[in-house]
Amino acid sequence: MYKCIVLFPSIILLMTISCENEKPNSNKQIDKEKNEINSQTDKDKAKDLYKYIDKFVSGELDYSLEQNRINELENKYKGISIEVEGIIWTVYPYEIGLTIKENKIKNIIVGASCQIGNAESLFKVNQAVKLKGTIKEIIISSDPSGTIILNFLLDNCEKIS
Amino acid sequence: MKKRPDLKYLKHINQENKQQMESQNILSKHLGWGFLVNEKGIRYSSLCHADALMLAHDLNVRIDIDYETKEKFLNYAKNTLKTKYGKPYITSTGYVWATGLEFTQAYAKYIGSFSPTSNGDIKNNIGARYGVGRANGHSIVMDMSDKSVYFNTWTLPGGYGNNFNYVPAVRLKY
Repeated sequence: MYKCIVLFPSIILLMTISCENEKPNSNKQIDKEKNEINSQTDKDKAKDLYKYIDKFVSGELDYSLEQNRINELENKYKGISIEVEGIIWTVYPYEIGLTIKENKIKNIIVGASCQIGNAESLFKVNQAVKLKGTIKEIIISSDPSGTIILNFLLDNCEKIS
Repeated sequence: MKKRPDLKYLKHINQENKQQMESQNILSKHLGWGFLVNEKGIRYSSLCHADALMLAHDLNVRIDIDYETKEKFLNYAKNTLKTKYGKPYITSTGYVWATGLEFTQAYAKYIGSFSPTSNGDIKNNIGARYGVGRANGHSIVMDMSDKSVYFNTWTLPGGYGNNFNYVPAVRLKY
């Protein structure tokens, strides 16, 4: 009788611990699935963005009218994660500048400024890289001589390759 | 002497707030003013001088001011502050009518920091370490200790402004 009293609460305790251990695992599973879905959604969304980048660099747009479209794109894509690939043209301690695409004949450049910790020790100018980052802002600008630049300001960048 | 823009000095501050590449474009974009239009009809930011003055001050007094505050100050400088000749401190096209000293003193007061007391002496190398250099109508932050480019407010892949021969234009004393 005495043994039963001692064992019974122990079983209940074990069951409780077991249940509590199960909860984080299932949460982890849900989080993982959510991340996979989000990542998939981001990839789908980003496809449109890559199409726009190709169009932008082609030189076929009326760039004086593109500001509104860029604002729309920023509203749509802000916060999503995208992958960019290009050549590094400048390295700061916490930021690198990347040229993604360039039309040298028409002086059009698509680039990215990527916020990344410890950038100086990870990257070198002229290095080809592939990065993943979150879109913070999209800026269309030009310099006085007329080079047109579309730049993606990316946060939380990670090196992919 | 020119060297690659370097933000090492800013390593101690919050990564979120530090000055970024394209800073003058970021300011113009958020404000919706401070643009000029080139011959292709595309707007480009002309806030380099104001931006460089503010960053040089931040560096000299070792603080980091975020874009939001800088934008508020720029609106205040455009709409409220007038020089002794009655001109706004900065116009909607980004032109700074105020002297470097006036503009920086107003900025220092606005953010509640130490304020520069007078103009330094560029020729005799007297004044704060960071100042503003100019060339071809563009302003950058200059490290006056070796007269090198410290930070280009407009460093873009196109390279605009990266290869100018900058000369010291504004150096203040604190």
